[in-house]
Amino acid sequence: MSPHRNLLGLVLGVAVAAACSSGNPDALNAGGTSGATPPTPPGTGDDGGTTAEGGPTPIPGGTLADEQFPPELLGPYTGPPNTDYENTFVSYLQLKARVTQLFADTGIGGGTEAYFATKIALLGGADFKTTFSEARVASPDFLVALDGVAKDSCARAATNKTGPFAGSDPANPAGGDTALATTLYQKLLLRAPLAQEVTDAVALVTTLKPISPDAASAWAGLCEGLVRHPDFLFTLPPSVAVVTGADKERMQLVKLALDLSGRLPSDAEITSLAGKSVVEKVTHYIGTPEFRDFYYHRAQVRTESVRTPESSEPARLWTYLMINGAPMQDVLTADYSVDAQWNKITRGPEHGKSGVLTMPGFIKTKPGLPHYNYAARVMTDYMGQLFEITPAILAGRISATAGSTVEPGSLCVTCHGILTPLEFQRLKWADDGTYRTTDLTGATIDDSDKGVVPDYPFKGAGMEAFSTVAVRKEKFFRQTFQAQFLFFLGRQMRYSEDERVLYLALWNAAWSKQGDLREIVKVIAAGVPGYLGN
Amino acid sequence: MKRREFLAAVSGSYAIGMLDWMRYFRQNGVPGTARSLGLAEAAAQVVGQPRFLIYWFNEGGWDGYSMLNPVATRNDALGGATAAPLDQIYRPNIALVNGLYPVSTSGNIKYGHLAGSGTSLFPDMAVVSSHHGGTFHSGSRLQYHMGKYDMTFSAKRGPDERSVMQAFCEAYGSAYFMPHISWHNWLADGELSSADYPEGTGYYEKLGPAYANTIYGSTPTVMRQRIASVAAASGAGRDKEIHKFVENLNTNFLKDKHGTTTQAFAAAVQAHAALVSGGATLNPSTMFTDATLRTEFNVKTADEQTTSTAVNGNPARSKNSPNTNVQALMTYELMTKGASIAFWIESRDVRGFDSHRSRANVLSNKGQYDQKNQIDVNMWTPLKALVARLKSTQYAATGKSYFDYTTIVLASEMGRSMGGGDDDVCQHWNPSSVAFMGGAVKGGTQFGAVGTTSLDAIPTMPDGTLDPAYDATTGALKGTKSASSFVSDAGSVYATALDLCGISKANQKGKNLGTPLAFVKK
Repeated sequence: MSPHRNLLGLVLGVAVAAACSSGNPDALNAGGTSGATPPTPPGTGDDGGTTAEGGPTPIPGGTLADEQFPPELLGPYTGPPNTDYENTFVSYLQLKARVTQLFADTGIGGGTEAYFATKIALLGGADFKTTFSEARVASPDFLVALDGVAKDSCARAATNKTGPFAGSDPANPAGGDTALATTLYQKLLLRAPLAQEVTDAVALVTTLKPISPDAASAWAGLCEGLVRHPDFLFTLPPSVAVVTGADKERMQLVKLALDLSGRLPSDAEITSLAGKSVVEKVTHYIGTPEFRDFYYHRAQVRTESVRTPESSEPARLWTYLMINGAPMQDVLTADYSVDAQWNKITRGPEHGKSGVLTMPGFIKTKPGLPHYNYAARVMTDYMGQLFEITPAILAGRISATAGSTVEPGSLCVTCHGILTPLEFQRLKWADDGTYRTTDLTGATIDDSDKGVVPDYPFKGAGMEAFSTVAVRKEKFFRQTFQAQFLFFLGRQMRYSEDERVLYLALWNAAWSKQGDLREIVKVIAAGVPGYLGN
Repeated sequence: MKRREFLAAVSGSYAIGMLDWMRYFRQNGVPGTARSLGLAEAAAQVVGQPRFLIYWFNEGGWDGYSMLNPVATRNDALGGATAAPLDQIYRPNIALVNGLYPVSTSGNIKYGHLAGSGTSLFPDMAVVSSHHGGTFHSGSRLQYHMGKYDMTFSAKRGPDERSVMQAFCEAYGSAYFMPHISWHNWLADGELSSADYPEGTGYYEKLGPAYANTIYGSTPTVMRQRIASVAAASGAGRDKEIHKFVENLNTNFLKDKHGTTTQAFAAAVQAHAALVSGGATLNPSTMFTDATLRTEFNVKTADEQTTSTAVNGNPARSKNSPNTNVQALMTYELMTKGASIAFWIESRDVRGFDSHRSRANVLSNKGQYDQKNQIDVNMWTPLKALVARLKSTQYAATGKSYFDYTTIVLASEMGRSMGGGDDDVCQHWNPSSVAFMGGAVKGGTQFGAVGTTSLDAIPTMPDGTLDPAYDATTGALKGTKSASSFVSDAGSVYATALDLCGISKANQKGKNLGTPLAFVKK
């Protein structure tokens, strides 16, 4: 048999877009099924507290090993401490909101909205027309674009005595240069300057005056410097480490407001939320329309929407679950959809309890057989299982056949033990997202797992067979937490390292609060060490 | 002070940051030139022999068998096939010669019809026809960037890893405004979830010194905005004082902090400082607007836009890139204006060459999907325009052209099969090809071949000849494979590109294990 013939025999194996494992030791080790109904989290005590008898509350979980909190993570973490400085850089939307709020000027660059829109590529934003992903960290492009934003917004504000200059006269500042420098710090960075900062600010203005057209321009220069200040650019103003009292609480509120609602706290919020607990502050922001809109935006980026109603359907479900406190399991098991007005709506019975998995906006971007994109992305996006074809895997695959990919002990079964039967279960959903019961030849489609993998943990017909079991798995819980972590912290939880205690708290909250994602966010905000600079 | 003295003065290290150069230029003027000369021209005079590197990447997987690893076969899609379906061979529906897909010859180079529009470039081209790409889009693309070594894509990239462009720019880019311009987006096709490839994993833009970091070229509009922003923020006087004030803020902030976020911020701050220090000599309003150039590169308005077309069902996450003819025009201008030296040009549409087809479709079409128009539009036509320009543009007063100082690599992440199962008879395929052009390349040459029976690459010896253990026509192994024969891959391409640019294997940064294909070098 020629190599060509051998290769032709691969059929399924070669066309895969996601193939075998990267060697993750806990990859695809789920046990057998434990029923087809979604899990109903037991009503154990909140946050894993104690029983009435005073003993430790049993950790909630399912009946199978892979449905329980990993016992190896119950012990203390003994590795090196995390010493990274963790603070997210502002996104395009957060920067835009900040400038809009602080400058209260709709005419920047001729029109603030359009002005920002022209800079969206450099500032790393997603408009879902020309840009579809968001920058996650600072870039040189962001900084050069920010130079322009700072210059244009500050020049107008200083000239028109608006925004941070409202009530001030740069040509003849009441109280002198020190007073105006202090005012600019307070208005732009929402805190009082340190003594050295005032000195440096006044020195800058003094330097600028003789080389600027007028005093307003010199003061605009200080304004530019403050717009480019790290406190302006990181969601938790780094100065939180050196300020105290009300200023510190305000810095922390900036973080919460930016992370949750994508904007700065309003003056009213700064007043009304003063002295409240972190959970109370989070609860407030979760209830704002800006929270819903900002979460929806993030969910659209995450689910790769192109901002059409169809492509945004998964993001609408994600957002609905968050703002209504519906069980997070519904992301995979909902038998309903959500309309543009955030109403729960019914959908056809062919969907069953499959959440996003049978939404055209999800399916259309993930080809099924002979590709394995769909199965791989389901497992990656919702179960946290990465698939990468390493050179070693490639070398082993060269002689593989379709059948051998699911043979016990084969190199490929590590991944295809899940991918292949999962693709079979999606067969009634075409790549264009339509439902069908017969194939092109008119034959009835068998969408069972076909029994090709004896220990496949999601046995049964259709996507409901998969989803209703998948949501019981510890991996689903963990991956759902990770999604929220990425939204709010810009990184993944170090669940097996120093954040294992936090992971347990999230796990307990998910079970005790019936999968209410709002509770998950509260645990993250209140529980991640250093999140608020404490 | 000469360059050598300057090097010694700033620590004697080879790894001099852009900031060092800029600071020196600002304070002392450009060595050997009038201060008013401008950085763009000056840079060319201070870095010794100029070097430029261009990768031209056809993303999605070209039909190598019809390209530069050609093979003459029957086309069973025309009907009357006697072979079993799995043994049938399908080719694009073009006229057969003696019942076989025609392999043509131009000079010393055998080629398929997809290369027909590129024959005028053959005298300057070394073709490697024994080559293996990958079969996993994301992984293979990453290997063409990073070279081949034991790499987990989702792992944090280490400080010793480099993309080929980063390695090149680390060696030669320190004096340039924006050394490294790339048009690609590693995760654009949605094969992998970006959420699982956080900052610092997969293709990481910030490997190596800040001046070597990837700057995504984007569209002419964005590039002009970028340069205009730099120009508006650079210079002396007021802006300089504000930069100094901000630099102080950033220095204080970054003190004693480390981690992904601050590392990115520090890199951005450093790159930003370099940009605003040196970019004012470019006039963005005139860039990419020259009517003659636009005509030569056949630029239409639509070519300057990005696309977000979903291909093969993959998400429409754009590469944020214009068409390749625009990328080529931008390359020429950025190169000849002294702004940049390294360019990754890539086909604009996500998975544009990923031409999967079912057996039914191919039989109905009487042939495989024909990539001819695509490859002409995406590569040959604009490449010929770029090469013509580079050849006709003298570099400074050297008497040599820009082309003489340039290395160009033509590649794709994989080839495509000529058959397979019913659902897909145009699968991802290892056998592929790669080509090199430029001043250091032994033009008009071809190394390796695909066997007419094996349909696989015939291993080549270190001197580029075919391993005699293989039948030179059929590719069948007749005896014992030579221990020294091999099939080139993405790692070989990485090493060869840098070697052609004057960076020997021993001096190549990064972890690539591949070795240079010495036989393509003059």
